Amino acid sequence: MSQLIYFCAGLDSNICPAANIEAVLINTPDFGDGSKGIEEARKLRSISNAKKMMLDSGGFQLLKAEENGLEISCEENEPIKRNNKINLSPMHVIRAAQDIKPDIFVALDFPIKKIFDPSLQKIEFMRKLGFNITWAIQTSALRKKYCPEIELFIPVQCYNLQQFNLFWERIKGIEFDGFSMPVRNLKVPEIALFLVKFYQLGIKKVHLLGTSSFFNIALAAYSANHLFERISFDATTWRLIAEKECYFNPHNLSLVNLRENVRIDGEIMADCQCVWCHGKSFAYIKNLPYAEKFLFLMCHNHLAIEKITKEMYKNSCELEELRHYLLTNSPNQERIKELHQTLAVIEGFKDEPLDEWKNLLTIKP
Amino acid sequence: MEEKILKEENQGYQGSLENFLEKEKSEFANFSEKIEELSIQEISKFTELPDYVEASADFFPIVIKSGESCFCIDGWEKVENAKNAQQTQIFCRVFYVHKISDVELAIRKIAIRMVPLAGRALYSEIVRNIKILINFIMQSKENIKVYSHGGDRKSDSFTNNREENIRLILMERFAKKRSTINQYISHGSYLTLEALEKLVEGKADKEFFEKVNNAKLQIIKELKSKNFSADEITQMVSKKIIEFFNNRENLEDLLKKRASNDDGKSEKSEPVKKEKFLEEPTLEYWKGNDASSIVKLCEEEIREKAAAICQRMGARFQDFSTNFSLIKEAVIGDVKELLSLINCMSKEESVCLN
Repeated sequence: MSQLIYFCAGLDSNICPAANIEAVLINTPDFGDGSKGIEEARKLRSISNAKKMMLDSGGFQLLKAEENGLEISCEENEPIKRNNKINLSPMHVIRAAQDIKPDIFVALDFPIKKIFDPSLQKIEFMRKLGFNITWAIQTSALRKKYCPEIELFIPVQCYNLQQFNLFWERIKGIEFDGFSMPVRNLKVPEIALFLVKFYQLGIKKVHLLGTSSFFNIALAAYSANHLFERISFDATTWRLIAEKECYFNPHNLSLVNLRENVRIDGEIMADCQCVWCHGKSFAYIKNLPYAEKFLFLMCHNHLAIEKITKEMYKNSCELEELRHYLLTNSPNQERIKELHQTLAVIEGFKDEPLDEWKNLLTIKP
Repeated sequence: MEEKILKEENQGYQGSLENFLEKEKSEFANFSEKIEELSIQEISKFTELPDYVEASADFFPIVIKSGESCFCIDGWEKVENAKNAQQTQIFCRVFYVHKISDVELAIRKIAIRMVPLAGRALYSEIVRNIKILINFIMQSKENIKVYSHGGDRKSDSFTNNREENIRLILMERFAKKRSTINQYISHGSYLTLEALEKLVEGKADKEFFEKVNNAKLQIIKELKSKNFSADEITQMVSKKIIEFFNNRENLEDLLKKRASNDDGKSEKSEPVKKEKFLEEPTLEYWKGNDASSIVKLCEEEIREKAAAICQRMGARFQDFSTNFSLIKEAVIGDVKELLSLINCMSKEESVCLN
């Protein structure tokens, strides 16, 4: 039985959207730096009753530090955060994993920036490749020594398959359980290509980092049913959009603006049946004072992602079933067509050599 | 002279001042209030403070009278209008006092627009009464716009949304901001009328409602997570809030204790600074398609469409005016369409038809 898991990320013991969350994702800089953070991680696990916990390495924080011009170092005996400095090494991640005891942890990586120009992408990839190879190899070795019982995911920091092949050639042979891949600005066919590549390499578990897009969840759901033992994704959007007073449409996770100045047509009824929305109107939610509204929205938004995840998994055993589900829930015919064609190509060719058919996904007619 | 006596003797015209005035027996206190016709000539305008931008909502000019002194502190425009209409008399709301001073008149001119005529209600009374009023309105089928006094910009904002219109009425009639009305409604939510009654009896103030709000939200969240119904949640929250109120002397400790028992579960009230938006967007919400309206292709249609695509593909290769890179792109599109078509039928159906 395969699995599709939504990891709720961006939460802490103060801001937790439900008392029963299937899976939570935390990160090393916030939770693995000292006894306070570790205690907080334990508290969070107990508050959320999470069945699964994933520990991210903190690569994202490294990227942010780089973008903000902060000093970055890699001294394993120094603390992680100090004033305007971030210090992360594979050993920090291992220590955090040993203390927090997550079910899965992600090797330390240095994420590549969101860049669109291919020549700049190439430089950025090459600049980070050394770190990513070294840290993947080191984290794998340390994990084998200190916490072999915890699953290890290797982050994939590449813009395209060619770059992935370069990375893969150099880490091949290390022990790990799955790949984690930032979705960034990749389109569904591009993510799909990576997923098929992982499938062809025999990878059984994949995590998509930072996404709650309806169509990415659909791709993940199909992949869970057809390519992998387990595919997961994490999202902080339940909280981020609640902070902006926005509501996830429970049908397709599109954003519904519920700020105080929005005009609400009395004919539009809120049809979400979650415990928060049941019997409530959009006017009710819109007019809640900020603290109440934030609580309401973050809880609803989390439940909406959870609901879509379950429904999508249930409806993606067959492609036609998935198409029908998507058409019922989304007005975006173009994206449904794109996803359906992508999955149809995968269904037809997933076991054929990728180079022979990848143009079907990369070239846009 | 037509005269209507509203209340005689010791009428504290500004409620919250009443106790103070009674205690001190001030010479400046009202000893009578009347609607009385006065000669326009005898009324002087109090000029130490400028007039209000918006005209007085009272039907009558408001006048303070002591012996021969007679000052209009609000509604002078009505006196002017009467003068312009060649009238010599005008009905005024007259407050009789023993003594007048500029300071007292200035205080009254400010207070007249700040303190309700009948005195202030308790915060818990306002919360309770608004809850009852909203229940009334929601149960009635009446067009609530009739309760707007109209004539100001708020009445232009009515929409077809009853809940929104209720707020507009309350904003207009109570001269409060939307956020204040929302706060009243929110403070009354998940509380039974019995609980609110107890809070009124105990004179619960705004500070109490604000102090317990985080704990209240946390309780609601916990109960919702456990799938309790709205009625059950209301009962349980009410019980807890009354418990807090009964122990209000140790409220801080109780709330702290609760937060620590919850392992810090309490929600931070304002995690981010609220943004201000100038535009006025409208709500957009997709309600989903009716599943039965989605057209499903049958096997014959699929075969027919696929054959047409194949024919189109063949024609592409025979068109010598198109170069190979364009043919490649077009054929890739055709292949995707073909694969998509083939997958338009579930495996189960496909087996049956074969």
